Amino acid sequence: MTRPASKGAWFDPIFEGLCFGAATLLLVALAGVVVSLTIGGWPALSHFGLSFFTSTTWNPVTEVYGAAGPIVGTLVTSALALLIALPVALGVSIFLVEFCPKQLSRPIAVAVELLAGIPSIVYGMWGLFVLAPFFAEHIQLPLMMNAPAGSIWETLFYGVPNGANIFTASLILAIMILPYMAAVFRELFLTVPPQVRESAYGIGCTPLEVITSVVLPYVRGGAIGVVMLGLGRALGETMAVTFIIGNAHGLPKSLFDSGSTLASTIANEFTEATGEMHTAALTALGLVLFVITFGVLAIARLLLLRQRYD
Amino acid sequence: MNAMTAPESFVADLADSQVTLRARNLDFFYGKHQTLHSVNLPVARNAVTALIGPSGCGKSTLLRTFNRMYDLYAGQKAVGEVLLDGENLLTMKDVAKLRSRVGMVFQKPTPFPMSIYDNVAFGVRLYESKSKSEMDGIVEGALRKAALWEEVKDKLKASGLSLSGGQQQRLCVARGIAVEPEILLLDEPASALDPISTAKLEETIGELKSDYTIVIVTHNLSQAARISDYTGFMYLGKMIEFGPTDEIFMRPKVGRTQDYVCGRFG
Amino acid sequence: MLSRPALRAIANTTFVTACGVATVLALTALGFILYSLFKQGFGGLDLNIFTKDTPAPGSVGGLRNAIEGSLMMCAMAMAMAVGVGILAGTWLAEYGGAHPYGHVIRFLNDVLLAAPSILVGLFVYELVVRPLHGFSGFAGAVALALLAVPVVTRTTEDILRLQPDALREAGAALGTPRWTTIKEIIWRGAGGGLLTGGLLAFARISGETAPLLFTALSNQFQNLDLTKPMASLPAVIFQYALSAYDDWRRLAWAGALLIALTVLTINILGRVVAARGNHRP
Repeated sequence: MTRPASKGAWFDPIFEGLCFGAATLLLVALAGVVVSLTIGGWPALSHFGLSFFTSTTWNPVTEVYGAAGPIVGTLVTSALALLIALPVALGVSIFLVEFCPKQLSRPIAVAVELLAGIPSIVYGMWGLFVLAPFFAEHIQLPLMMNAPAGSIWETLFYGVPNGANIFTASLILAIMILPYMAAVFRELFLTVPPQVRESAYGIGCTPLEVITSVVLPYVRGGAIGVVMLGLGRALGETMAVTFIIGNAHGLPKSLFDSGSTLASTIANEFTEATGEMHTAALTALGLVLFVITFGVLAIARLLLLRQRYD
Repeated sequence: MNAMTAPESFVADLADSQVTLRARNLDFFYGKHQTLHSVNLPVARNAVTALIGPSGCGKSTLLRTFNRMYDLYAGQKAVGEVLLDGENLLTMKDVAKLRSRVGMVFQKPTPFPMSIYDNVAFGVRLYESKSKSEMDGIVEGALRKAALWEEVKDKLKASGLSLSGGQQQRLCVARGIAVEPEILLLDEPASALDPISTAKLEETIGELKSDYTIVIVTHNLSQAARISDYTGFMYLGKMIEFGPTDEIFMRPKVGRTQDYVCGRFG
Repeated sequence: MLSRPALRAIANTTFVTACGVATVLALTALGFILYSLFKQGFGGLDLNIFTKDTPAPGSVGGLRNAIEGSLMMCAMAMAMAVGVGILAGTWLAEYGGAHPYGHVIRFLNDVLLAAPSILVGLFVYELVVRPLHGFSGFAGAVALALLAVPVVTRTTEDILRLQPDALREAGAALGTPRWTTIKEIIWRGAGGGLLTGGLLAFARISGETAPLLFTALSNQFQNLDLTKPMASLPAVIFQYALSAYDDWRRLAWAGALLIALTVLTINILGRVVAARGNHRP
């Protein structure tokens, strides 16, 4: 029996080619980011050499640029944010998975996930207009006043009492990455097979023991991956930080001193950069930021991947 | 015949004039792992051939070589010959055309996410442009042959997914026969169905054999006995015994077949 | 000295309480943010917001040009991103996902998904703004598209992988060309999920600020020309919030509320679409 070839078969290779091209476009895009940042930042990197990373001077007037301030600012705020957000996010996710009544757990989880999607500029505004004044008046000032002269506390709490500083920036970052981390932690905990959890309960473990001895070890790699993803978000976050970090160049001298991050410096100065070298230095900051976040994300993905296929 | 002289395997031969599909010395590999070993099987025209055997014996793999379904997956490969009207289908260039000649119905119902009507018309539209009235006729004919027409004629626009499991499976049969294949492959089509739906499907299969050649894989021995004309018993990737169904079930020539059909293993 | 079981019970109670407190704390903080947003933003939400352009300090105005700009750039970005993202996700799910190159692409997509958006802004500045000698709405749209593509790609791959192989085989069993199987059966079956992916991507880019700052810049006046600098809600909020004028700040709050509500609505819509099931034709 003869029958015609099916219609449209000729399009098969073309369609596959289109799909392949689209996928390759992702590679091109990322390569483009790397190449453009490298080319754009190269004048600054080659001109200042290693001192670009060690110098704390950032002076557009004399055209001398060192990135140590923003680099340290970025690392410190992100680390602090993680320190604050991690225990809370773990607490929230464990509460939702283990202890919360079913009827309440779903709505709270959905609310947390929705909050993770709120644009960062909203968090930034809240930080600037609500958190900063409150913090300056009710926390920063009393702490500064009452710090014993000459003690470490005096150094730590020193700063212009306007609430725009390294600590409040970290706090805002923590609040921002909190819903995201809690949501991903929750999903991770839900991947633990019920039998594993139940068999631990079955031998008389308390919930705390079930979590520390069975659940956490079970998701260990993935949990570190989640932490890394949270860190990646904090490192690259721009708007929320720009609002509230105070935007001062140089190394922050205390917890309550104003500072800057890589992203906030770029956001603040890029459109107003006058000289070629200024633009190049800002682009080089972008390259540094890319390298740091790429490293963190790569570790996160490797750990999460292992979790997924184990 | 006594146990000492019973053969290791026995494949009854059928005359070429009777045979539409014939597997000859067929090997199959998943990567390096060989799952079919030199399988021979004649498939008689306008008859039902059942493939039985314990799970993992290769009966589904054998079925899936008949329409080259394994082509979808990298690393799977068939070696040997499967002759369709004398032509080795393993080396055919146009797989799509082959599959339109050798249709398939799967273990779980696989209605497409579209209306009942479109499910049936889908395959036909791939090959030919038909007028609305011609297409209506084809759809109705296929649904009638699949014994589904009376149940769905008033809701052809409804989603194929709205039907019950048994109805979905008969819809898939209708979809398969709408493109008028010569052979219909059924891969454990009733394993996901309740007894009543199974009975209806078996009835449908019985009626279809006047128009089509049918090969069915089943692990349900009484189903094989009820509906098939020929039966092949497979074990560990080999065709142990093939012959008329009555022979296989009443007077098996191989000891292992006897054990299996009597329920002594598997 | 307490007995071992008693110590265990105390440790456990402390732990459970701590988890509960963490949850209350987190929800309170987040609730407080939403409360401030509504309190500060709601008063500013009037008809002027949608009918008047961004004002000079001290005069009456709204956010019309910013809303229009955001809508235009987001729409254009989605138009670019949906096609590319769905095709790329399809390649990962249906063609090359298991190959080494597929793993590379999937990894790079994950990197793009989480990369700082400001870097995308820098890239597009070099790619579009510099060669064309000027900030433009088009450049903004390209930057947003680059942020939307990985979201669409990821959700497309995930959702297509949920489609059973049996459907692909059933398509092939009729002799269907592969792309027809994908288009007519797989995409169709995944319809709801694909739409959700698009909505999530849209929600993500509609609040993005950083990549617009040096691509679309901003514009005090109404501008529907994509080759000129274009205002957007996030950029205007950024500018106005950091200003010293009370009326500008009020507009910034109103804009922030508008964005938050939009993003929440789209995200909820995405969830509803996803929950309605992916299997309806």
